[in-house]
Amino acid sequence: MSRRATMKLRSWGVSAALAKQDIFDRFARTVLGPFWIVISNAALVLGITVVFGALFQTDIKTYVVYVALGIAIWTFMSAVITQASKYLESGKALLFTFDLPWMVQIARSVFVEAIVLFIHLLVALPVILLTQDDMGLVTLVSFLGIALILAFGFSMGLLISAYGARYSDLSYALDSVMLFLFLFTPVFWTAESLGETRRGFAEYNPLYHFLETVRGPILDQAVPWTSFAVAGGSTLLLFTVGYFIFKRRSREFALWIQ
Amino acid sequence: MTHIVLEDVHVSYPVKVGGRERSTMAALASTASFGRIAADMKSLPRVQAIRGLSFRAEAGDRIAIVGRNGAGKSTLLKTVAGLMNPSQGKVDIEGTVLALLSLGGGLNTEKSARQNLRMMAKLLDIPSAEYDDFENDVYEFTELAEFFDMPLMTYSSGMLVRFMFGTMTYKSADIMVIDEIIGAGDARFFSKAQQRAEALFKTSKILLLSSHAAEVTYELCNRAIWLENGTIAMDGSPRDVWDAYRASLAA
Repeated sequence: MSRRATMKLRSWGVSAALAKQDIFDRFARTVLGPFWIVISNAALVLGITVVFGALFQTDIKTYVVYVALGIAIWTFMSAVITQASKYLESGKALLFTFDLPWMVQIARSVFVEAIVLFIHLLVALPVILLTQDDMGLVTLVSFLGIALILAFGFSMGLLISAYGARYSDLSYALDSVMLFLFLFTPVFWTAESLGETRRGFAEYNPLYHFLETVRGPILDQAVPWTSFAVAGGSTLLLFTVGYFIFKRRSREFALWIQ
Repeated sequence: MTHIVLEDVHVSYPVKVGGRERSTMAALASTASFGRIAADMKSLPRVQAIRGLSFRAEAGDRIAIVGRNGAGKSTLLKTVAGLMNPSQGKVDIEGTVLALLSLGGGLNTEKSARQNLRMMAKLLDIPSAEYDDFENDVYEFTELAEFFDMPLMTYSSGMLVRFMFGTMTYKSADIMVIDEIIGAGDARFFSKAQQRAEALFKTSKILLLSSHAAEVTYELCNRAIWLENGTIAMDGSPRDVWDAYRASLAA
C-alpha cells in the first residue's frame, strides 16, 4: 500500500477511536449511558405520534415508524449542521499536539453523531418489526439511504467547519435556520397531507428526499428513485464543494482557532 | 538530507477585536453588496508575528530560540511544525517532524495514565505489536508509580508534563520542535528529560527548543537564535546569545 493510502486509512481509524472515546466520556457517569439520548427521543416520538397521529387521522402503525425514523435522521443532520462550526475549535488541543490531518477532527465529530443515529435506529428496529408485517428484500435499500445520509453529514461538516473557524456567529445563524427547516420539512408530517397546492415544500426540499431514502424502502416497500437521485446528487455536489473549500481554507485554520 | 530552510518568511495573525469582523451577517452583506457595505470585512487588521525571517538549519543543529514574550518564538515553532502557513516567503522542511507545543491534547483527565496510553498509541501511530514496550517505557520514564493507575485529574502539573513528555518522545523524529514545556518538571525530571533528549538527538537530527532558562539551553543546544519583533536579532553560540540578550534586557 502506498504511504498516502496508509495515512488515509490510519486517519479514519484514529477518528473512529476518538469518536468511541467521546461517546464513552459523554455518558461516563451515568448508569443508563447512551440510552439517555434514546429516552428523550422516544418521548418526542411518542408525543408526536399520539397528538399528530390523531390530527392527521393516519394509520398509527405506519405513522409511528414514519416519525421514529424521521426524528432519528433529523437529529443527526441537525446536530452536525448546528455544531460543525465549533468542531475545529473544540479539537484544537489535539490538532496542535499530534501530527494529524485537520479532517480527522471533522470525521471524529460526525462519527459521534453517527453512533447516536445508530443507537436511535437500533431502538426503532423492534418497532419496525412489530408494526410492519410484509417486509421484502427491498427494505435493505434503506441501508443505502443511511450511507448517503452519513456522507451528507461528513460533507456538511467539512463545509460548515471551514467557515465556522472564521465566523464565530455561524452556529447561531444555523440554529435558527434548522428550527425553521424542522417545521418546513416533512419530518413528522406527511407530504401528502399538505394538499396539492403546497406539495412543493416537500418535493423541492432536498432534506425531505434524504429522509425518504430510508423511510421509502421500509414503509412503501419500493425504491424511491427520485429521492435517491436528489439525495445522491446533492451529496456529491456538497462533498465536492465542501472538500475544496475545506482544503483551501485549511491554510488559515491555525490562525483563527489558535 | 534533513534540513529546515526559511526564506524571507512573514507570518501574520488576523486580529479579532470586536465581534463584527467575525460575523457571518457582515460577511454576507459585504459579499452581496460587492464590498459597498461593510467593506472592512475583507481587510482585517493583522499582527505581524514574524517579519522577513530567514535561517537555515542542517543536521546536527540544536537550536535554542530565545526572546521576550511576543517576539515570535511560538509562531516560528508552529511554522516549522507545519501548523501555520506563512503569508509570504518560502518554508522548506525535509524530514519527519515531532512537535511538543501544547500539553493535554487527546488526554482524558478522568482516566488513568495507563488507560490514556491506548489512545496515545493510536495518535502517535505506534503499532500494536510494540504496545507493551511503549507502556513499559512510559511507566519507567515517568516514575509515576501508583499514580500511573490513577485519573489524570489527580496529577500535579509537573506530573502531567512528565507523562506527556515521556509519551510524546517515545518515538523520535528527524526534527524535534519543543516549546518551553520542560520547565514545569522538577530537577530530577529535568535530568531524566535531558538524558532522554540526548538519546533522542542521536537519532533525531535537528532540535528547535524555545526556552527562558539559559542553563537548559547550555546543556541541550549548540546554537541559539535571538528573536526580536519577529526578526532575528542574533544567531550564534548559546552563551554569546544569552549574554547579549541579557545585556539588552538590563539596558
